[in-house]
Amino acid sequence: MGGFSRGLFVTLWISLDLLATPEDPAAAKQHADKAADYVQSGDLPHAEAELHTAIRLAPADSSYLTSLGAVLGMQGKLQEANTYFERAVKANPADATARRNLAANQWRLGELKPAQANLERLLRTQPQDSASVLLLGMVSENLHDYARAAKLLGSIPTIVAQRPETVAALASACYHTGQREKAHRLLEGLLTQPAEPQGIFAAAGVAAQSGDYGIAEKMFESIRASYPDQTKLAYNLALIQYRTGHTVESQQALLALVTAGRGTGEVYALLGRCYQAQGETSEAVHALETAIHQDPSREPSYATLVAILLDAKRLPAALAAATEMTKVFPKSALAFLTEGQVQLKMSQYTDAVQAYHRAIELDSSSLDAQTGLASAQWGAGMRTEAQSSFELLIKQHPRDADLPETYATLLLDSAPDDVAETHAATLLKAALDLDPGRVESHYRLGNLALKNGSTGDALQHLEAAARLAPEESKIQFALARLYRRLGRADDATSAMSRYEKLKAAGK
Amino acid sequence: MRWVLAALLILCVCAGFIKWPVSAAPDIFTDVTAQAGIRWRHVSGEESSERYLVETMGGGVAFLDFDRDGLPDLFFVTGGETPKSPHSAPPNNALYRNKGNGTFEDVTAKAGLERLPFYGMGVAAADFDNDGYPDLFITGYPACALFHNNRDGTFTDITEKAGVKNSGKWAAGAAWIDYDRDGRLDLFICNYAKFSYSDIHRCEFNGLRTYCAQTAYEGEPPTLYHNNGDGTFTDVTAQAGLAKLVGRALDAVSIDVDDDGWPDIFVARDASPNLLLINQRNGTFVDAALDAEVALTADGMARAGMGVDAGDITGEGRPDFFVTNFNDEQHALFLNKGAFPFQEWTRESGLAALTRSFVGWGAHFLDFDNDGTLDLVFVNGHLNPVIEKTRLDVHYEEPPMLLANNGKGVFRDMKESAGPVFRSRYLGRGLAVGDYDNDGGTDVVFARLNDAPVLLHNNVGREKAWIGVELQGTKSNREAIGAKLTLTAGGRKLTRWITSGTSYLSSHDHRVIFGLGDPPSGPVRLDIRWPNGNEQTVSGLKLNQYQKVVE
Repeated sequence: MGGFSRGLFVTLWISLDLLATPEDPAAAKQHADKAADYVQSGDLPHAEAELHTAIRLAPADSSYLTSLGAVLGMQGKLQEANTYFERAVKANPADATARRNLAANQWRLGELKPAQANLERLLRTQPQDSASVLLLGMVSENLHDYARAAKLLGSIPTIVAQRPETVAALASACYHTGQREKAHRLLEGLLTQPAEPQGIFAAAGVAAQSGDYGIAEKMFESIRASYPDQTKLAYNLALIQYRTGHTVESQQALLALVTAGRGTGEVYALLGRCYQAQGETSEAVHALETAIHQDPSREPSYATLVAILLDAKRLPAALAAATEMTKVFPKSALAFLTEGQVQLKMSQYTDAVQAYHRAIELDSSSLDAQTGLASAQWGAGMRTEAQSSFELLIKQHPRDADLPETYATLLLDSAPDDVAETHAATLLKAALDLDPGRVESHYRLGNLALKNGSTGDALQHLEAAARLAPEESKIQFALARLYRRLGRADDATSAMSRYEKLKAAGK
Repeated sequence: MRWVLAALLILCVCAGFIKWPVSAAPDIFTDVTAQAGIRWRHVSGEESSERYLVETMGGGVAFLDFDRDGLPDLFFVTGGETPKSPHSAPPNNALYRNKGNGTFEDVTAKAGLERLPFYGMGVAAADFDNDGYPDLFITGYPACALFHNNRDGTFTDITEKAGVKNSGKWAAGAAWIDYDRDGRLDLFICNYAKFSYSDIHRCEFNGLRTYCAQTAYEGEPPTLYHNNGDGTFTDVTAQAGLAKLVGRALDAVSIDVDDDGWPDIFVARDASPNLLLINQRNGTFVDAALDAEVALTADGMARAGMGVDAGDITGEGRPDFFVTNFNDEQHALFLNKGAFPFQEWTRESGLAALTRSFVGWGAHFLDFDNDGTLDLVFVNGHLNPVIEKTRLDVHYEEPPMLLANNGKGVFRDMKESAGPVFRSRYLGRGLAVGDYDNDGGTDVVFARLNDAPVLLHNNVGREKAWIGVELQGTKSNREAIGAKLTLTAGGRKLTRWITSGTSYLSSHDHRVIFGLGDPPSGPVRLDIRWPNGNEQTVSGLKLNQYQKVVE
């Protein structure tokens, strides 16, 4: 039955429930008891039918409405279940069971905010309701309110420990709130008790996402024999190997999947990243192209392909891939952000301005898009707009060291007058205050000092830059100039020699 | 009543109701190309299907008095045909004889200079055999040519005999230089890049075929030919220490950088480090560009050096250097402080802000108003027809610029009074300066890619006092290329050099004009250091005319 038809059928059935039928509570109870028997025996469709009858005979009884919602939920009919739970809560707002079931169903449907509201209402009147505490903890984790999730789930450890999914949620909250050790122990605890493989898989995923690869790998390995989707399992193990720098092993595992005919889009995409890590650009590009062909709806594959092509300085190909990405994902801010980044690199500034504008339309909170737009405006000659953008972004994100550094760099590269040069120096110092390890800021301040004859300051900044980035040719060049000015001829010669070697290597 | 009416009239004028007929100050320069009778057009090969880079780079021009009648003439180098752009009529160079009445006569055919057996780039004019008549060295791809001035209005191609063909190379600018001070002009050639019509480089922008960046082509070392004095030259590139200096050289200026009496060479190179070749006085050169900090930017990046000139812009008696570059790189100015490093003065001079959006080519210092300070003129024009699809602030055709020097090396844009040409846009390339009407005002001519040149008459130079000097060497090379002249007058010292090369692909009137502003009181003295090192002092020079000084 199609979705629309099923919806209509349910509406009709509900309407039938509401049709004026003589209320008969006693008869309703008989049907409800039969439904309970059916549930016990696992015959959910008959249970559902009995409960529909019970509701026709006692339409305001929230317990029957809740039971029906539960039976529907057990059959995966979540939207229909939601309808009956809402009716139950409406019929009896104080019915905690009905409200709790509604919240649980909303959570399953991804309606997190309504679920949160219902659970908070429950806990206001019944703060010790551990089922609601558990559920609200799960909802909070999904809403990325990790501190709250950690507090709620941490308050009911015994209940949490009963299911791997809830352990995973608490572990995720702990990882995100800096309680790494606690998270690790929680997940290790899962390995010592029987648990369903799907739950272990989810928990292992949490560990992997948080970079706790050791425990993640152990957990994935523990379900090697029992997890039903062997391709996904093998992929996740390969992903851990890639992330821990074992690209060769990862590549081998992925190639085994490909050879066995189990090369999915994400398998090929990861294979591409393995090739790229080993400098095999052509193979990497081919793998990513295959990933896209296998699964054109997988956006990360496009982004990875563009990144590989940019890294290989194959800019026209990168632009073609990025433009394709915007066509396949026209409502994706990431797609337009990616396109803008490539256009910026290719000095196609006016096009980049348009791409970044579109990215911001789709995601106004994207700092990358806003910064990119400002840089593209600068490059396109829209200096006034760019300066306004940068000044505003710096005000809005005072802890972001990238912004003042990027703005200062553009100012210095654009023939600044004394005022602009002083402003650039102030911005660079601000960037260093936020992050003393910023190479470009040290380098630029060093060059400014050299230009102004402050060789002491120049030495301090340029040598700092060289320590932080020993493979950057321009820093060695600047040092050579400085050493020459200081009369340190041997040091100047060494620095020039390093500059020439690095320049020849494209650094 | 009459008084009332007069008062009323004055009030009306002051209120702007009535305008007195006030004569406006003349534009500094006037475009006299049409009146002069110059009809020639450069032929580039114009965006052939293969987008050969050579099509975008040519356009040399020279002021030279080929017939020694005291009136500078004009020579223009055409580009030519490429395999993918045959022309309906074969493209010609052009020699225009100055008739002395503001007009020029095309005498190219009579002179035997119409055609070249290669794609033409630039010209360096000088009297290499010291017979009193300037000869022509023309650069190009894949060869060069030396035309001897027969002194009768004709020229003869003596390339093969002279041994200066520079075969297989793509040559750009060239400079005459008596590097060994033997009294004979030697020849320094800027070789650009390894290039071949059959080696196609394919570059695109949004699916449109465009010219590739210069970095797609490998550079070459320059060529140095020693003048043997018998009509032949010897390639001494390797012996001179130049063979290892591989890069994309576009033009050079020969001038005594360190004031030791021996000529050095500043070479502007494109996406390769510039060179500052210091004459070691033993037939060899050493590159001191890194020490001088003129090779690269502060970030260690090579700019796209196209045109170059040298002159004393601060009155300190030392040659400073100007190099035209690409958009966003700023045309660079380096002050010679008498020791290394030179001081990059681009931002402080105002040039950084003025030139940020432009791609510069031919350039020359000149004292356009004869106030005694060296000003600057240069032409711009992009390479990439699709640039306006990517930028709002950079354009394909760009205006030339006339910048006035305040005497301390700070420049001001004179476009509002320079003349309409400086408010119009062109694809400028070569540029030469000379006084074609001998009125003391330095005139300018510039070439345009695939278009007609522009001849500009200077309307203001003659309004101030000036002294014109033409040197004739006897022991030194006859044109005195390499001489240093210091004029002391009215408490001021003005230093000038007779250089070769400079600008882009072009050659200039070798006479020197000293602008004095107001007529000086007191004696005027000219100190000359001749190219071979001899010193000579001259007094009794007359104002507002040219005079010849013989060594």
